Amino acid sequence: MRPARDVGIVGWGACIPKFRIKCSEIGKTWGFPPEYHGGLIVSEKTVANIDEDTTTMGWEAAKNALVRAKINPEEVEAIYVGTESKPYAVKPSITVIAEALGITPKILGADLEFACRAASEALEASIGLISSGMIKYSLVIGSDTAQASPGDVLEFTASSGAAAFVLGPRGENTVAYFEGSYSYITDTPDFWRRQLAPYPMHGEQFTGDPAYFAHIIAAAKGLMNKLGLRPSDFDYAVFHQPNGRFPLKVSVKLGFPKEKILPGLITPMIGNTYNASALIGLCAVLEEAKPGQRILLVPFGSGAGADAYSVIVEDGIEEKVHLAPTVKELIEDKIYINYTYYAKFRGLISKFSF
Amino acid sequence: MSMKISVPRVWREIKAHYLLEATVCNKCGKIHYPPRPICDNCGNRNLFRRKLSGEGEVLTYTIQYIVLEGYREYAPIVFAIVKLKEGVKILAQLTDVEPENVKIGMRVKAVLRKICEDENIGLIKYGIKFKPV
Repeated sequence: MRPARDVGIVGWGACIPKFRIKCSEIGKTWGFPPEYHGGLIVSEKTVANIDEDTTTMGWEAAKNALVRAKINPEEVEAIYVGTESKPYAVKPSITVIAEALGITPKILGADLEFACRAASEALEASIGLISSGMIKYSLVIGSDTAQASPGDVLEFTASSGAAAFVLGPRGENTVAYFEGSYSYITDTPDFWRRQLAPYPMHGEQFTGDPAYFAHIIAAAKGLMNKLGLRPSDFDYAVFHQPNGRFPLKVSVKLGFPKEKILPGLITPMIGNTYNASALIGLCAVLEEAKPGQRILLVPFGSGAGADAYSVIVEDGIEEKVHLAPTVKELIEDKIYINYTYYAKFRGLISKFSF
Repeated sequence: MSMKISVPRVWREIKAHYLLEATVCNKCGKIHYPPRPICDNCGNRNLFRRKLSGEGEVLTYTIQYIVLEGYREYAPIVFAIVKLKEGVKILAQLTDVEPENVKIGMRVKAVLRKICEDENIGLIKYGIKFKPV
């Protein structure tokens, strides 16, 4: 898809919770063999504090994005959060976020759900709204406190974090713009969580080839065919990162060298932040990219779907990098906790009658 | 025993609790947080609303280990008097810092966090806390 008028990124921001648990601590707790998790290429993951959730992390990422955007927050006319860990089953997260950013009430907004891809759907919707001239700026947030059943292999990677982008019409204040996008969606039963179920289930053999790899490869190839581009035309590639291994494997399948993947591969240090996974990777790449460089971004969501975007970096990006905390700074700012604190923070301990 | 959060009160205090919105006396200039309708310095009833910066430093603090019902998972809670750069002093919780690492004079900034939850079916109350810069 190509918008009628170019739409770009005006500001970006991330929220990476301060607390970390090492995967070796999780493995030891549940009696997995030492280095059982080694193949996942994730050494530690973020843990949201007891007072953090999708709403608060989304707010913090959005605040950082607005600082970098250098616009009056009241100019934002749409706000979307993509999440699969809504604090309320019914009651939007974005109303709290928008109110706390001071951008209510004349605004469009919704919480979107499509596993880890919902925030990407918000990107597509915002590009359309801005391109058509219906709105000027949109705030797109991906935020999750990912659930994992205690003792499940998912617990090694499911983490917490958020990323946010202020999108607007391509112009003087945009630091990158969307050259085009390509979406690929099918009904694939690789991962789900039923109503009232506290933890998700994964469809084992569906997780890899029929879901993650098939959709990401189809979306990326579709985009490159449509735009007449090859992997060598891109300076960076950022894929959804459920673990550290899958993005490296999909890059080989698509013909991208490792050095174009590593700058945006963040999951090995913080785990899988679900709706923020690929988007925090994009934030990290924007913080080192130079004007004129081209980025391939491919978020993926179970169920399943992937969107491939070609993003071209523009002048003025370097001046915005240090207006808010960078991904690198946020990764380095950490406090390690043990499994007892992790269990408390994740609400895994049931209290009785008090 | 369930903790009860007053839904109307949470709604009424949204601007103050989400945005650090204070009232400022347009006669003597005193900043009131939480917002007051009447200036306690000069008795003026003509006050206007203003968002505070959210940037400040810890003037003093205390650590609460024995907490109110419904707050056990948040314990220990660090309460601090934070002096904002506007000069106003406000009472708030600190977060993302271990109690032993809290220092007087520590620079802090405002963040939106959960304050409490009315068990697992009631309202979630959000508000401003402060974390180290």
